[in-house]
Amino acid sequence: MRKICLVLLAVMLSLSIVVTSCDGEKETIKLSELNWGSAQFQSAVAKIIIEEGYGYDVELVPGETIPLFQGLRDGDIDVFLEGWMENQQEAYDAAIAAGDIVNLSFINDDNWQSGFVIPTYVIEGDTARGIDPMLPDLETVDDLKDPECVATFADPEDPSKGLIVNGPVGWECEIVLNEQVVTYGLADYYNVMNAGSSTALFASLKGAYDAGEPWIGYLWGPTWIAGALDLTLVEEPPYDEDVWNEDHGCGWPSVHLFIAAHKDFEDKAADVADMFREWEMSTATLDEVLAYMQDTEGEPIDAAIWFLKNRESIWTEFVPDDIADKVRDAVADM
Amino acid sequence: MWDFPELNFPIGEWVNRAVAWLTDNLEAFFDVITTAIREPLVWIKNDVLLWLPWWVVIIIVAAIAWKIANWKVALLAVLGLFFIGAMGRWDDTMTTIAIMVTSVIVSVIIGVPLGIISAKSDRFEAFQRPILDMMQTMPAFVYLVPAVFFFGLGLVPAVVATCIYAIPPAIRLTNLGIRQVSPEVVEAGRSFGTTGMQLLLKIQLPLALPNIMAGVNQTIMMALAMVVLCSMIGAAGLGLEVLRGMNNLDVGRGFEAGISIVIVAIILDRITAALGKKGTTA
Repeated sequence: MRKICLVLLAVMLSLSIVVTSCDGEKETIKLSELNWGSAQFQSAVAKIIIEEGYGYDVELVPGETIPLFQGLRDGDIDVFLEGWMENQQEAYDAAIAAGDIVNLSFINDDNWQSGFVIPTYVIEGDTARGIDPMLPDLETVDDLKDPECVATFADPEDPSKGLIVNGPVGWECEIVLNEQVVTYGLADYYNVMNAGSSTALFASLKGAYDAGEPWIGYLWGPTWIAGALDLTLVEEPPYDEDVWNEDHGCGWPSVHLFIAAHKDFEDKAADVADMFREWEMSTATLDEVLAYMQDTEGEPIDAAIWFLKNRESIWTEFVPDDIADKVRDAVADM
Repeated sequence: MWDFPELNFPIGEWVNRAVAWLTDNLEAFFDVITTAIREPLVWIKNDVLLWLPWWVVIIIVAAIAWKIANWKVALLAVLGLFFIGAMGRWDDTMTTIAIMVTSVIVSVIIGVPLGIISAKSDRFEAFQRPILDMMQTMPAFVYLVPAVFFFGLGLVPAVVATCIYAIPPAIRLTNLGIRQVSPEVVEAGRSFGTTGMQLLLKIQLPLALPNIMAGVNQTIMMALAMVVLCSMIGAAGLGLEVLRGMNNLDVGRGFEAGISIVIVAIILDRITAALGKKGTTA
């Protein structure tokens, strides 16, 4: 019994990632390193620019959204990027209202999410891999009620219905997709299963994709898997704010990807705060980098170096010329 | 000269290739396993535990506890399960128990025979030991993701991952139990002219029963410890509630599910521990 208690305790502790803090050296800036590709890449880019250009030390604090965001509120982390505002709206609003954090920038406005993502070969087939089109007529979410669609996406645990794979537990998509399935009238035809974690979601999609099997579920962009696989979004009614607030009966709006800082960060490093205010990265840029990262099996830091060397026109917009020169010189030797 | 030389052993690369090969070539094999696990699991969950009215489940568990242990454990089971239901965690708990029961059955079916072989063959024992060490210490995340590749999301990979973690105690304690049967007793049996099979079934296994039951007990505890981790690959039940609570910083929700796991663990621990003791006195 003691053993299981200890094991459970350890599991819970490791889930709630302990954020370490160290006092003393004011010159160290602590950046979040959230556990998905586009965030890790941008944190790596920021780390190189701040260290080489502005001369501060940077410590990356890895972790999940909620624990790190709490760390930002408490001041254990100075800058938090890239946050998905709508996915943590309550926590974000509460932190802004309490004056614990300030928003520095929105990174882009062309990101997407959908609960009805399918591999393109489901509709079009893939002659190179010998996959025949399974559902050539599938276009809109309404078509999903078709018995053939339901049978194609059959839930192995309950074959009378189809299966839609939802995102990680506790993400906003959990609530939204469950409601969308009801609103679109799909609840009688489909079960919705939680993927548990983003890793499991990717593994599920990648496993089905490599085997050429049908798959339908939640995904978002920018992510490496959207860059690496040929995917299609089943059409939903276009986003409309009133409909969305009523019953989520339309496609997702693009999310505000934000960079936020602890309230005291301005006093600590105003120049770096100014840089983050200029920060902008399109989904296309991030997809490109993430696909590069996946192809080369490289670390975020390698992708950051590649980006700083090859996509100068983007990042030199964030920083004054003298800083850009310093970064350019340093990166040339990396 | 102080840095370790860059030898670049491509172990990771080999593992990736092995996983890709397995996915490509053994799909049919994995499908068979998937069905073999899914059918009884879904039956236990939907057609037994969730089909029976809640009070019938409580009465059955209490009756088993009374019969095997004593009235105190039976009372504990009634109060504990009622408490879980009162917190609104009944369905999640039944799902978790279904995963756990299936895992334990699979673990015992695989573990006990392997334990017997280990007891009979020193060479096999030496061979299995490092493999069991690996199964117990390899961080579960490492095999959770390939489990999704092979078995899809949800309950089935959860059972597989749980078994990887829970089989070793079943093998180890069966092996230990049979090896600890005193040589005099075995000798006495031999002198009465028992065959190898009679010796095993009539003398060694009955005398090893307390140890084997301790192994089953450990297997159950290991299975419950995996519940939270398995929710990360979409296994429903209490683990998912813990994860959801944690991901939303809703400590209360996580605690409710966590305490439910603890209650289930205590009840099952008391019952199986009593089963082990009964074996000794019998």
